[in-house]
Amino acid sequence: MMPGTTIAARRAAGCAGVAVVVAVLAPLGEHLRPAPRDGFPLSHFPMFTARRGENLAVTYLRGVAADGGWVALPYRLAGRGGMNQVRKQLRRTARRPARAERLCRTVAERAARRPAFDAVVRVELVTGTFPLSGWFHGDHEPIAEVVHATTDIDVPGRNAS
Amino acid sequence: MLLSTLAYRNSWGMIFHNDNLLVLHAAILAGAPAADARSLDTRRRGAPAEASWRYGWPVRLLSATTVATYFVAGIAKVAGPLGWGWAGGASLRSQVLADGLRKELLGDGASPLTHRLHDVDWLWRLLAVGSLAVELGAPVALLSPRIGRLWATSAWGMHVGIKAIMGITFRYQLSGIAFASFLDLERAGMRHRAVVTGNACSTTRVPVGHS
Repeated sequence: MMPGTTIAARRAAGCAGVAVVVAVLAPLGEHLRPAPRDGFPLSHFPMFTARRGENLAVTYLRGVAADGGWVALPYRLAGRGGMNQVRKQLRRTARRPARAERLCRTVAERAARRPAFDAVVRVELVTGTFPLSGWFHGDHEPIAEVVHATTDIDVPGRNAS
Repeated sequence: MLLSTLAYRNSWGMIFHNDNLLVLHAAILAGAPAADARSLDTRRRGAPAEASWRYGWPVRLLSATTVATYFVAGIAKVAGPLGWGWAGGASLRSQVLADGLRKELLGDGASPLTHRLHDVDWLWRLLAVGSLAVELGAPVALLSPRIGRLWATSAWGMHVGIKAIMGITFRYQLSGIAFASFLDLERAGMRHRAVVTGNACSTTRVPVGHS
């Protein structure tokens, strides 16, 4: 390689390197905005930074048994893409009654085909508010609860009372 | 291809932060002569690539990018609503418990460690201070190779802790590949070849960034 070419190549490499590092650091500017926006692949990595209260509201799918007991149904019955992705979709679905009913029917059909949920007679889309510490001390009673949609599982032998 | 595939996935619902560094590193390697040592083309040519500054700067840039992402994550914690109070550990504990509760209601349940450690306040304080030290202290990893290796080990350990307590898998980071640029892997390869060929003479490291 000619000396001149080497110097030019080194300069180009240096400029490219600085540009990459500046681009990675650029999202720091989001902290100066009133409502920072996250992005991909350049992010200001806001995870773990929000102020959290003592309670947490979660929208989830609940399988209710004939005796009134309940079990949380896994997100995979509702959709694919990972738990957090489905969790956000459930939250959005809960705001639209027609979509919530449709989702409950789909989940009920899927649950009816799984022996693990033989005892489940009804599927509900629920937003429950739970005390964070309380949950991990064994208190699983919600502080507040909204049932967005409900569907009985239509299988002979299962009796939704 | 990688960027478009992952950007598509991140366009629905939420942004997954475990892929950011992978995409950035792939972009750097794509612009670097990364296939001069081992590739089908090199095998056809027969002659190994000569030592050159061209192979040093991408390694340095990979390290600088890694450090920058962790530093940005550290700034986000102290620039957030809690400020330096984040180091107290209460926020970290709340975040982990919130994640655990969601997994209890939607997924496969919180990790056993979340159940066992949720009341150990001093541990959350220690983990919060440790996380901030790794993230805000990341730039010192560029000062010397030894500090770089120490930091890379700490950052990897942080991801092992996240996996153990929260069950969140940062595959790229946990595999160690994300931190490979901080290690003298080429020296290990040279030592291995010396042992295999019976040539026990010491190997010399070509200073990175010099021809």
